[in-house]
Amino acid sequence: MPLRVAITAAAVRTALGSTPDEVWQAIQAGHSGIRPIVGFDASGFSVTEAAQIWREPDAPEDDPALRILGPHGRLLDAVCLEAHGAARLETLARERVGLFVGMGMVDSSVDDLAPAALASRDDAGQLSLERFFAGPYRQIHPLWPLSMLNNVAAGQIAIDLDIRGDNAVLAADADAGVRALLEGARSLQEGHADAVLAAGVAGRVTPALLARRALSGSEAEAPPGEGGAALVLEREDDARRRGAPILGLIRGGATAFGGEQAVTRAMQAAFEEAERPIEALRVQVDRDHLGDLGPGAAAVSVVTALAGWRRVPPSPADRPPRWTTVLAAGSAGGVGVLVIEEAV
Amino acid sequence: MPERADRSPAQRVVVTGAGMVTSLGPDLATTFEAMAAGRSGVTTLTRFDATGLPCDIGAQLDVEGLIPEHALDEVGGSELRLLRHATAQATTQADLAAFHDRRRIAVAIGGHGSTPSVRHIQRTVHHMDAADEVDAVALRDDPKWDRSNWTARSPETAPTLLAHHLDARGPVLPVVSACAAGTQAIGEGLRFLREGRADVVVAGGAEPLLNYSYFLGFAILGALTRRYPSPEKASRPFDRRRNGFVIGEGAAVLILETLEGARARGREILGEVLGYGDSADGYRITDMHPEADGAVLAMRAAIADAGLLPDDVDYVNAHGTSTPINDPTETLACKRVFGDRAYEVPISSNKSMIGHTIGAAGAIEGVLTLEGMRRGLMLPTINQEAPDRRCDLDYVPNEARASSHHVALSNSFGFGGQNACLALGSAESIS
Repeated sequence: MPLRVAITAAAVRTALGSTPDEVWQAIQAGHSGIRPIVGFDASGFSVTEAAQIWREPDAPEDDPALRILGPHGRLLDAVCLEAHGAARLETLARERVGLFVGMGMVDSSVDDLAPAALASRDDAGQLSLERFFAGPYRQIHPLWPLSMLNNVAAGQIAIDLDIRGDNAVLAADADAGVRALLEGARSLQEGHADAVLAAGVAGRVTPALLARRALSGSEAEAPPGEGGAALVLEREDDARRRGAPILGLIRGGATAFGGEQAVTRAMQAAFEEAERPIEALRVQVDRDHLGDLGPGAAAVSVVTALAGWRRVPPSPADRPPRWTTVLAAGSAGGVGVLVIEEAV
Repeated sequence: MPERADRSPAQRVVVTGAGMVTSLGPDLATTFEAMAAGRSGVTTLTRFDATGLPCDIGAQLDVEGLIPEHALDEVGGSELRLLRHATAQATTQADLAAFHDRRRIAVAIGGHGSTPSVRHIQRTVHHMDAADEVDAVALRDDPKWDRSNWTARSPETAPTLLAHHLDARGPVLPVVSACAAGTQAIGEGLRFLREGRADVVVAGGAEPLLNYSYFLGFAILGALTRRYPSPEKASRPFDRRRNGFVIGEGAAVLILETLEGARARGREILGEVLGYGDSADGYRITDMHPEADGAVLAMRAAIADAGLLPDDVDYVNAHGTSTPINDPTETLACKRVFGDRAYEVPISSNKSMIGHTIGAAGAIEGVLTLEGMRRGLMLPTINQEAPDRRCDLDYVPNEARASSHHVALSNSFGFGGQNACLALGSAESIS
């Protein structure tokens, strides 16, 4: 049976805009958010460009929530709050609202450890654990360990929105974004929730991210991007019953692992579920404009497709096809495919 | 035995293999028997020098000589090494090698990846300039840099490499919900099978070998026990003298398949995953909801998903961390779920003996719960010496108890407020 899950609200942040329309228009106009990296010296890396959006100062030390979340956690929080507000879910019981997130890499920041480590250097400039134990370790912020937990942003979103339902945080490769959307859709289909926030967010572009890409051999791929998106999902019948605007429908999806055949298998399974022939579909590709958004890519691609459907085309020939496929392939070998349909 | 939900054999999910490694043993049988004897796996730390820190104990594994290293461990770190060990036991028991359609094998693993190693921090400091800026390029090219630690810090690394190692080509689900991750991974595996998205799921969780910075993080957070007469007396869930948890290492893996599939393959059935429930506390990142709202939601959801009633539950494998907040809150959750019958439902905490294995905890405790039903034995909560008036249920104190029990819950409540609960059933009760 095909999925019939309605998308009833969406929010997005990318290098090309902070609304679905802004991002869609910029892509249609051929703009690119990929520019020389700012914020640190990337000249020694083979990748020196990225689609960045964050350059705000670090969170104040006296705001525990902001400190724990880190930049991309805060972005995730922002898009979830915006989408949840737009969907007007206040009438739903909080334990019936779920949250599924594809989370970009959460890692320790040098800034968190540097003061304590630097205060513990021996005469040769090396880190001395003996000195470290003697007291400098206490300079590390007590919330530092929490800032490295991948699920903390989801926990903060549940607090901010007072939602208590079915949830999962999936990490951290590109296909995690598709998995989050699919797990959310299936949670609805199986009756575990009545509405779901499904979101994905890329990790921040840092020297660590560039070094990790170099080590994993993914430097040759699209430059990294920053951004993410959140969607509110509901069973189609429920959404129509409560008069919610239906922006699009998730009709099928699948994930697989293991090389090129995984792409074929995931696509075949997703199309089969959607009961659609493959040739009727197009693949949404935003990487040339927005960079590699990792786990944020799938949700952002869905948002741009929804924005395209909402616009009145100059001529019927310019109208986007009613069906779109979102494909995400992680560098570790995971593949995810979503099939979405314009709401009529 | 209670009537089960009206599910067909194609919708019922059973366990056909199980493996684990903990501080008490390299496999399920050794671990279970040590715990049945009330032994503790907690010792003074030998993995690194913790002198000067407020806690110097942990539940460590003896891996050298026990788990041979594999080339993949260079990338996946100790999380993968422990997972491989537990998985080998489970897949052998389930004869997974004979399962030919590898596209229908999914992998769902709870964990969180590694944290920065001391060597990583040392080399980072080495490449800091006068303005305390790190020369990332020099760091990248530094031959002394801890590359393995770097890749193992990505939480998807170990699960995807495990899938590669097993030649499992179905979906791979790296679940990252801190202390609830192992339970959530098994719960997601249950859904995969019920929804027909896989025929077999390799589900579990892993907690890598302790490293200094990871341990330091929990010490700074104030979550670890600080006062203990001896290492083995330090983890004392529900006891009045508890003052924090003891961190542990380990991994556990289950092979899940449908009852229909297991019967068709002629596999021995070790138990059943009857239901799964989860919730978010939506309260505070570091504290459980004081009225245990999130825990109650997850427990009730698991019971309902199993098609059971609270009165059907014979036993609860507690989250039972030995922290001042968790244990009375979990006690309250049991009282809200079971009502007056809470006093008749035995509850015990495996963490009293093997510490808190964070990402692995839910998987280890799920396996031990099934094994307890199979052997007709409830594992004890050791170090029950000083009663706490807020923790006044039957915690199976100090000694294992012979018991024919057939339905159990296994609780996991995570940092960040994610809660998960499994309803598990004995093999004996499968009709």
